[in-house]
Amino acid sequence: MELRTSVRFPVRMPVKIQTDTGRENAETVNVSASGVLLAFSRALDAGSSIEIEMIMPSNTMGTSQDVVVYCHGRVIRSYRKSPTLVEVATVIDTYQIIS
Amino acid sequence: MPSISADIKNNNFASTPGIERKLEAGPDMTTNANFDQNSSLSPVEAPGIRILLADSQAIYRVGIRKIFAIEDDMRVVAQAENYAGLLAALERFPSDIVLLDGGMISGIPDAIPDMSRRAPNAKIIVQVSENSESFIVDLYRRGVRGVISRSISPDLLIRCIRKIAQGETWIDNQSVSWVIEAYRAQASNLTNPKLQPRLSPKELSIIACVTQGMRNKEIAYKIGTTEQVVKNYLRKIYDKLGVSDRLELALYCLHHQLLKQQPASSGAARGTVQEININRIRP
Repeated sequence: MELRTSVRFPVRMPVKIQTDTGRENAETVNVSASGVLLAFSRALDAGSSIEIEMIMPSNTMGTSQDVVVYCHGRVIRSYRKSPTLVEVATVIDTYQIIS
Repeated sequence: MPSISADIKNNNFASTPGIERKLEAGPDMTTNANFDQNSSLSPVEAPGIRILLADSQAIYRVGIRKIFAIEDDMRVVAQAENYAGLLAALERFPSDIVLLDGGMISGIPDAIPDMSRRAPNAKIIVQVSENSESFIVDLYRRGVRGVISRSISPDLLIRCIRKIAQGETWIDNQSVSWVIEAYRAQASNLTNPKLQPRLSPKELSIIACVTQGMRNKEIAYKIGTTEQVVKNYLRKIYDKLGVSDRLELALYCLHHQLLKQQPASSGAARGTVQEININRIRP
């Protein structure tokens, strides 16, 4: 039994996502080390590839500059929360932390 | 009836302090004799559940061995009477199950991880004399597959070993509650900004380096130590914060504004990239 599972941090921050149709803006709903739940304007195909660029601001992080995390992963599912809002669940396969 | 010397010879017995190989004949010895006759099978490939018995009290070892002796699918491949002997036996005698006296690892916090590293395929069952919530939760957290009472009935012990050998976890109702509560508390601690562990300036410096994308080798160079020391620090940091990798550490810092509150971390190098293949399959 492994108790140390990925914890979802309820962190809302703007992110840039790269999908099959191009680069767009989205927002995180929560983030864990294994996946990101995004608030987005439309549904994305399950299984499709996605890149997410998270910028953790230096003034919140306490670092000298923003911490940028590039994540590459896949869309797991999308579900519509309202006519203009879709939550997109993604899984992270690889990531890079860059300063 | 196989001879004792044949058993020793065929199982590559070597005298090691703390390790006792079964020396008397019995039903499980007959199993060994079969291997001798069917030379295509080695003891390592033998069918059935191979058990390593680790108990500081000889009376328990004798009693438990008698319980297993009448089970066709179980055999004790080695016994250990102390922790050092257990570690040696783990490397020498491949086992499916380690039945361990909890008292033997008392005061050795890394005993279970050490055992798992030496024998990653062995499933560990710990026998405890009393129900201590923190001890039992910690055992499950560290990877044991079952915790049972030392006063367990023979039938239940056999069932427990079969279940665990099949890959299941053996846990009683009380322990389930404790483990779930510990999981909830861990999740709560991770997301509650009021509950933060104390970190040393060195640990904070290393965290800052991680958030800058530095590799362990680069961090070691920056703080003037070795890569192994950095790894040790990281393991300690992960344990303190309850995170499991660099991304989770960065998220923790963001959520708790950890480095902002404790500015010992400034000045980390910049411009480096850390790429990690997480290899996670599904969330």
